[in-house]
Amino acid sequence: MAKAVIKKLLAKPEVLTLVREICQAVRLPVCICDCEGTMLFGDPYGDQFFSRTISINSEDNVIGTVKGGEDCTIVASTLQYMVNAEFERTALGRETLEKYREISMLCDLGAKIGSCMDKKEVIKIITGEIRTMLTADIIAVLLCDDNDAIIEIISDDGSDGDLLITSLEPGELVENFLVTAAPEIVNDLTADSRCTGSPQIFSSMMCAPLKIQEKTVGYVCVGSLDKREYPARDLKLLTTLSDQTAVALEKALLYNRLKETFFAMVRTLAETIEKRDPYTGNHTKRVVDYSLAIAEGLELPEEYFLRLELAAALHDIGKLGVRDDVLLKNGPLTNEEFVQMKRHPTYGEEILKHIKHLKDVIPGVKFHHERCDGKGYPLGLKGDAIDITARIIAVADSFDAMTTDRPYRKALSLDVAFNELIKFSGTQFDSAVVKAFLSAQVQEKLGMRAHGRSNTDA
Amino acid sequence: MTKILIVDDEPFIRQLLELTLEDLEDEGVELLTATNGEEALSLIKNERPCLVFLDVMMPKMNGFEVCNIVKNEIGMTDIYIVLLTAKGQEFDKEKGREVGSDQYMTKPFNPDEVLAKAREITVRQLHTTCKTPIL
Repeated sequence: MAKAVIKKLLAKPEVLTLVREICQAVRLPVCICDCEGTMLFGDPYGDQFFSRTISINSEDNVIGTVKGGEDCTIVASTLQYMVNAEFERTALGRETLEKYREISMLCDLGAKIGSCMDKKEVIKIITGEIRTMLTADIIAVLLCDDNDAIIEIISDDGSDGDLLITSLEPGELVENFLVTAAPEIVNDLTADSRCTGSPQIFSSMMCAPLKIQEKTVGYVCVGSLDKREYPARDLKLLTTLSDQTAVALEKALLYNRLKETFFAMVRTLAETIEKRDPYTGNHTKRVVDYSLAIAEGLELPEEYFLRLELAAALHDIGKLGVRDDVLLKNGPLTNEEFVQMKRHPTYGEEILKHIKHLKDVIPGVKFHHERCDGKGYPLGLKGDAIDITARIIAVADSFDAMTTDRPYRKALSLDVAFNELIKFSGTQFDSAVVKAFLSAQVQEKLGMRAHGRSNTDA
Repeated sequence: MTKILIVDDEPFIRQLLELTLEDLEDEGVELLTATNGEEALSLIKNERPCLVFLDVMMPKMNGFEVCNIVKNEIGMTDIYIVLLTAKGQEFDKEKGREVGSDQYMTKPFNPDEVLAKAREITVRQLHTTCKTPIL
């Protein structure tokens, strides 16, 4: 590019006119050549008048020459001035393009991490972006706990982020970062007194803090094996990126807390019914396990499992609404009591309907006592009209009820229970669900013996 | 010769686009510039660039009008037109489709994206030119 600057300048009409006018003003002919000696302007036959040759330079490189008489210096000076201005203009342009690049990157990044709710994913995106913007051998995010101890190191290429820390052992420098919580460039690690580690793996590094509400939760570190002179603008960029990361991390953190709270609440709800009817000890947990194993056997999509898990955990929540003398009765129920008991799936719906996030879970709770032949309750739905979640829970629930001790009878053996499932497959139970439950794969997963497997073609 | 036309009324945008594409100049691509819609149109007709980076907001004739004439009125549909629009300014995608533009980019443009697009189109141009029988 540099070589062509003079040619490009002379291609501009206004420049050409100016040069022409100046040349006419001097007494002897002038010619302008590029660095290869090709004439770009002037009289090719003016050789005899050329007593002087003045080179036009750019950063110590000769990019062209002006030839002419003694007073051709004025042409050379003017041209040199224009070349300098052109180079400055180009340099400014490059600087601007670099900023354009950064703006585009930051815009894209904002969109990408804005919708990201996973801590690791956020870090992966950010380190990937840093990789494209800065020169580094390792890019790692160090996360700390409340006592400023490093709890996690995530590096961008999956390589051992510990290397960075090992290099800084005993970590005085990193500790210092955490205390000052200020971005910093250390271009010569070996010369830094805080860096007492033996022998240095990295030569240069930059660090920028991740701050969430004034608290430093970690650092973004960039390290170079060879010695580099990271300029201040690189640190500025790193700081901007780490600020964005912190915001995204905070969001991911809050989201995860919300999720945890939500699941804790669901567990609490499930626990209340367990405590109310302790005889069923761990019934809920086993129904969850059986249900998930069945869903796996049915090869249901992954995103479905959470819904099933919640529904299975909460399937009997409606029993909270059943009177103690019915729920805890030690003996067979009267007709009136049975009517009471049969209301629990509907009570379940009434309890859960206030939680918007459990909307998809309700069918599994409300219909887990429906039967494929339509003789179930509360609505008497048939076959596929019954939500698949409810059909799965029905099998898991009945199986566990049969195989555990009840106030009015002892547990049935696994063999008998399997045979009951087979016997009522297609009438009470969904045959595909029963088949999945009895499959070798599911049985193995649940650690049950191979009872009744010869009869599984129900 | 493969040509790319840059159209923008703001001189520094033209310069930045030229700077972005200067690597292609070394590969034998000629960069042309125009400062308004009318000038752009006459260059398109006479020089037949394979790719045009066309600013939307211009005095006299805006980018949409130029694009519409090129694509729909004089039928030079093989010219790839990238409309340039300011960030934050809502780009009328419907209008962009109507006038037959191939793509739009927002300013400040991403230099890497501009260069990649220019390479893609010039390579494609080279390819089709070679395939076309001489007689």
